[in-house]
Amino acid sequence: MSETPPDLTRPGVSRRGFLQGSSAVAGSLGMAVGAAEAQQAEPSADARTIALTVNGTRRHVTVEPRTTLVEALRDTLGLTGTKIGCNQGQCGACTVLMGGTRVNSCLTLAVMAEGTEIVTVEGLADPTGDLHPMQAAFAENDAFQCGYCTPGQILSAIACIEEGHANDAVEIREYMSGNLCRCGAYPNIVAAIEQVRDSEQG
Amino acid sequence: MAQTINTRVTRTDARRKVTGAATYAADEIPAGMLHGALACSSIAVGTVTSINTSVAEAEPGVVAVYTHETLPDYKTVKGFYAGGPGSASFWPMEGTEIRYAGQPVAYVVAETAAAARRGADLVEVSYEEGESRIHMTPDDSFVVGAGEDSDGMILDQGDLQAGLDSAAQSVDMTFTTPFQHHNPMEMFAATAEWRGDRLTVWMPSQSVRTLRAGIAGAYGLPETSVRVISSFVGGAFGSKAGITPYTMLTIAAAKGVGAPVRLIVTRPQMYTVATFRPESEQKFRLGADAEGRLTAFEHIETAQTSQFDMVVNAGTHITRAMYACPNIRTEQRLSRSDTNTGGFMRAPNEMQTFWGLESAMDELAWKLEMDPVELRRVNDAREHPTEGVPFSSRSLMESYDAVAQSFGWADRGREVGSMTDGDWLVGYGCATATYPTNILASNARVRMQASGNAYIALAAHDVGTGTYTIMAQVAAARLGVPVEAVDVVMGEASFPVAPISGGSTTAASAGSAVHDGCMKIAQQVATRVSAMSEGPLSGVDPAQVTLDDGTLRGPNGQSQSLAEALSMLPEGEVEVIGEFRHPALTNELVAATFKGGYGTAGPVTPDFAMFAFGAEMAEVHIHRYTHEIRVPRLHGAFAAGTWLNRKTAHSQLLGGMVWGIGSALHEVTETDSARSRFLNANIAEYLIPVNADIREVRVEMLEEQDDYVNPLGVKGIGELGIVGTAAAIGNAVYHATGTRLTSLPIRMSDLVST
Ligand code: FES
Ligand code: FES
Repeated sequence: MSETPPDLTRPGVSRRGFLQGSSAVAGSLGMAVGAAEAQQAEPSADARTIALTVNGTRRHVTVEPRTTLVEALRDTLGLTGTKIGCNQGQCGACTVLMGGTRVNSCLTLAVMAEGTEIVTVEGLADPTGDLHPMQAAFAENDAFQCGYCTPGQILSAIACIEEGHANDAVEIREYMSGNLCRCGAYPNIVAAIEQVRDSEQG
Repeated sequence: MAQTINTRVTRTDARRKVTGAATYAADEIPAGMLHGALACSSIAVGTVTSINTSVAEAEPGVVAVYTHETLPDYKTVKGFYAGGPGSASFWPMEGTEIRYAGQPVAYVVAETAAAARRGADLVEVSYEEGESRIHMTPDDSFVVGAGEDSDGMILDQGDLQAGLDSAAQSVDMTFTTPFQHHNPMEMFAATAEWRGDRLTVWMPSQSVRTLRAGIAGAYGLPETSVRVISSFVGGAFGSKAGITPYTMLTIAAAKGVGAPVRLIVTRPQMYTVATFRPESEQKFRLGADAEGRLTAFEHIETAQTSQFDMVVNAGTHITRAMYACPNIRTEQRLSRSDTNTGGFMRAPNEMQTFWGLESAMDELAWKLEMDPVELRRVNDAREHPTEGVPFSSRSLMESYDAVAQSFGWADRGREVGSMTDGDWLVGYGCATATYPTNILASNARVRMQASGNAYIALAAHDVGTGTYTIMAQVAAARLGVPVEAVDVVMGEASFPVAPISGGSTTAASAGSAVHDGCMKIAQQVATRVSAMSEGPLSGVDPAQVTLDDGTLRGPNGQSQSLAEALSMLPEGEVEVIGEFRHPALTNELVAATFKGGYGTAGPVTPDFAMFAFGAEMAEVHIHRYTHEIRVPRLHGAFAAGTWLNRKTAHSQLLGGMVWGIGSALHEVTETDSARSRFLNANIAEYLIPVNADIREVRVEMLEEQDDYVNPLGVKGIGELGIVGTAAAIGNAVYHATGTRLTSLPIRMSDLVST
């Protein structure tokens, strides 16, 4: 899988400049000042560096035990395709595949993902840019409006077929009900999944 | 040239949306960004007596904890209902006063989102708690502006009492609707970055220009110093229209810490830091003669509002446009309680009122022993019943006839409880949908090159509505190029003026500006090539040249493609500003829009009343023993002028109908009356339809021509689909069970006695 690594070296504000302009309290002295610098700087005492394999690429990230997978993906690795819709396990917007299984990445600690294969929406299209069949089917069936739930829906939909839970529309609706869509694109989402299922069988 | 209008075009931003490349506000991570978090009040009314921030400040990773005493350079703006851009008139963290539960009391900045949230949890606030009440009290309500400028808030036409007295049948019913929250999937977020006196704000917005004007005004900055960016919006539904406290707090906090700050409001906090759909009461008295013709129509709407704003969503202005009746009386009332200020939520005037009106019409039909579709037919108005102007177009009965056909209305059993399916009671119900056609001024920059590429820029937004795509389609159709050759940029306040993405106005108003831009390009090119000594249009009168699918045509059959004509110009391209100024837009309205406000004309103009119409039919199944309610089928037929994109328009109507099912069966913000708080402030306990709740939803899109509304003949459809759905479902419940429901949402417990 091809992946452009996020630019972790882009300049953050200098620590000195930051402190001059701020009313920072003593507790923050000596701390990293932002997401982009989090890896190079010295974060909190119980932070640790782990290896995450995301979309086929192994990356080292420094996280705290409480850092969730979604925040590690978005804020540390810059993979913002994965969305946060509730941050409490209720909506499925943050769905990614972990070891081939769909998980809510807001309910998964980053450290739990060490040693597993993570797939996010950025890792679905092939290196030449051809869309994954599920991405193409979502586009063609207009299986979204605002697109915010879409990365989670697509990963969930891929897993739904993979799990063998896409035998008919009733089953698809049931097994896709962990992914909320406030735009109400559900019938089109079901149509997209049926289309991919049928083409895989065909 | 393939047809590009009134056809199914895949969204031009589809690829970005399915690959994760579409950037929503919280996806922008400026270098050195810190994270914000809000701490909110646990009481509804009272005073903050002290705030201890030391524990929070000692938390590793926390950079700053701001309170009303320490937040530097915090600015506020006037509330919308006081004529400003703000979501409410009362601003938190200006002092110690608490006026609603969940009011921000402290703002924490930290190095990670987790540390910020933890810091917010650790802020210790002491209060002196006062008396509060979360629900409105219709007995203690008032008419907005009565006495001086009532603006139609009370209307009395004919003789209501005489109409009731002469009626063969009448109904007198009171309906209620609950508090509801928009709950777009994208959480509210704002990122602010100061560079000296220049400010950039990334924020999901329905009106970037309103944001910029308001923020610049508050800080006394020229608008050119403020950038507001909202490239993609993860659903809005009215919740991202005004300037909210969380935005201004984030801007101040970023200034305070001297670094960019991003705040992602938590899902529970989303219930109190922006707006919501106020609860309401809808009283109807209808009378009809033996043939069903209305003799009396009275609607009194009372809606909740906060203690410090008057949220007027004038639903009676819409209901009284529906049916012909000589004696009409309407009244628009408000009742205050202790909440943040509510606002617009998808179909803000229509959802609640059509639950009442269309349920009352159904009841009247049963009393008259009439088919409810026929009751609508005999009362179909050709002219606005209280404004005395004709409808610019009105396809209500065409919609009923189309949906009756697709739904199989003729199979409906005549009696209550006459249809069953095993252990399920089956009912059919119908209701009218409508939405006013609102008009706003708009500009759009349009550039076309000899290569056949076109570029469009305007400060409009794509909140999921397909705006990027339909703007490209309008240009492609006029300029005769493929949709893919048109590059559309939007969502930046510095682009040409476009309307707020609200009131279902963008496609019609902004689309008409793009149309005008294309016509202007044709005119300019025709003028220049006709003055040349050579070329197919040399010497023709440019005033007589027309543009037809990208081809310039002279009066005597001369023709040249626009691209070819452009290649004869040394620049190889022409750029113009397209404008849409409907004759109904007064100078004041145009000025309001150009100042960042909302200068809306319509739906009634001196010449016409402009509305889109539709009809919906629902089949419900209610389990005989468990009373479980299912909606296996919901059909709708709609007519709204020209369909620009049948694919995205279909999704908008479908999504609206799904919202209607939510309003009918799921959605309610529960309250804790003792503490005046919203209780189920999350997206699992605030029920919205999930995939398994939605079965067959069919959308029929009828052809309709309307030459008055705008040059494209387009009426807005973002809200049409939700209107009437709840009543169609409620009416089907009545047909199945004989139980007439009057409050939303409909629950199994309402049907236990059936
Ligand atoms: S963001 Fe993870 S389930 Fe909602
Ligand atoms: S497409 Fe908007 S939430 Fe699903």
